[in-house]
Amino acid sequence: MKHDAEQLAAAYLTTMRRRGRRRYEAHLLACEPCWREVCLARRGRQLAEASREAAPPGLRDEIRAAVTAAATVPADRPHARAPIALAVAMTLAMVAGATMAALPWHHGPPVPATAPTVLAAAVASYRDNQLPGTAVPGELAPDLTRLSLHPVAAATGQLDGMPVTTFTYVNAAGARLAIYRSTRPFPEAAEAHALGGEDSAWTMRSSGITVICARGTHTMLLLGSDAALVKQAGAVLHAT
Amino acid sequence: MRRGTGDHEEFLRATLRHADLLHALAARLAVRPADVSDLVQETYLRAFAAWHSRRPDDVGAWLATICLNVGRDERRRHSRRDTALHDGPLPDIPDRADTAEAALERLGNSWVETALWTLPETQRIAITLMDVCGFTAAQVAAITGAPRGTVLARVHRGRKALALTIRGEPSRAATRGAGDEARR
Repeated sequence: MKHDAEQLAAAYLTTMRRRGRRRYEAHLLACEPCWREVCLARRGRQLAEASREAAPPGLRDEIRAAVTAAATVPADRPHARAPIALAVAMTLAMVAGATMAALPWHHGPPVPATAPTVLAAAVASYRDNQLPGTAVPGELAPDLTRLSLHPVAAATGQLDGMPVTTFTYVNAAGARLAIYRSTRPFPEAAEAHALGGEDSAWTMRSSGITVICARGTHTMLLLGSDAALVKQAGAVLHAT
Repeated sequence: MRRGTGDHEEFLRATLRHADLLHALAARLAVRPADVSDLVQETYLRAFAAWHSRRPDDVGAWLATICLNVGRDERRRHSRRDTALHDGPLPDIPDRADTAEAALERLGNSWVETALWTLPETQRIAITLMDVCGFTAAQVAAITGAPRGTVLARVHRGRKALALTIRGEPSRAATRGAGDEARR
């Protein structure tokens, strides 16, 4: 029988009706080219279907923020990027705050008990990518654009009863950094190492996260998984 | 003139459930992995700009069509920028080897993702729309503007090429001429 194996296999795997399928399946048993066509196409479909993956968790929030921002921009300027970007950043901060309020505090493995609880709370907050409150801060995020770090969320709230303002940043590679500022000094962890000098900054590492507490009044913490980036941010902010 | 608050809430209710689908499509259109989120966001912004004048029956297919257009625009923009930065003679149109080279740069992606990037664009898009996004052949035909038979041929050849690539065998299916498709 003369036939186009490719065309028949394509139809069989997509649009062929029941009666045609039965006849074709009987034909498959005796026709090696058709059998091979169907096997390969089935395997390819399985591979393609297996590559399905959900969108990153933050994507919907980003879309919501962008569309909400666009809705507040005059309609004759649909691509006024700068005001949209600003509004997106503000909306994301509020969304992140709301997420924080809706979710339980701890998700991952416990933070070592030796760290004072406020530091453990800061590490857990960073690790779970959650803000310690929902209020919009009255101060601007420190400028870390020299390190290609851009603010993505900010909030004022409490860490283990301690009032803090948090700013989180990311760079193009996805590395994340968080700053916690308080009106009170952060307690020093037993395992902390001084970075030198009187009233010096100190550093510790917990659950793979590097923490630096700023020198002087010790009212600022910097946290991140990338130790070098945390140190660089400390230097830019004159914290070390 | 400002759009109403209810307008954008209605838009988000109708479209946000398609975010996974659009992300999957954008990931197979974006020139660089870092551009995927921007492509999705731009798709939503363009869709929102058109929302007040049109309420599509098939929102998913409508968004996918916009996403394809945004992807093409982005590629043209990249192409223009690359040309502008090029001091010497104009480069040739990229061939399959260039595409494969670009695919190898996507280290960290799965083998299947890498193999998908070695397929001709029409096949990659057809497979993505049908097998990854879950559209029917009729919907893919409407989204891409290609006849349904052509869509089925692209999907079939792409699937075969994908299977052969993963097995490490060269594929003739992926490179068969557009003339073969046009016959269908």
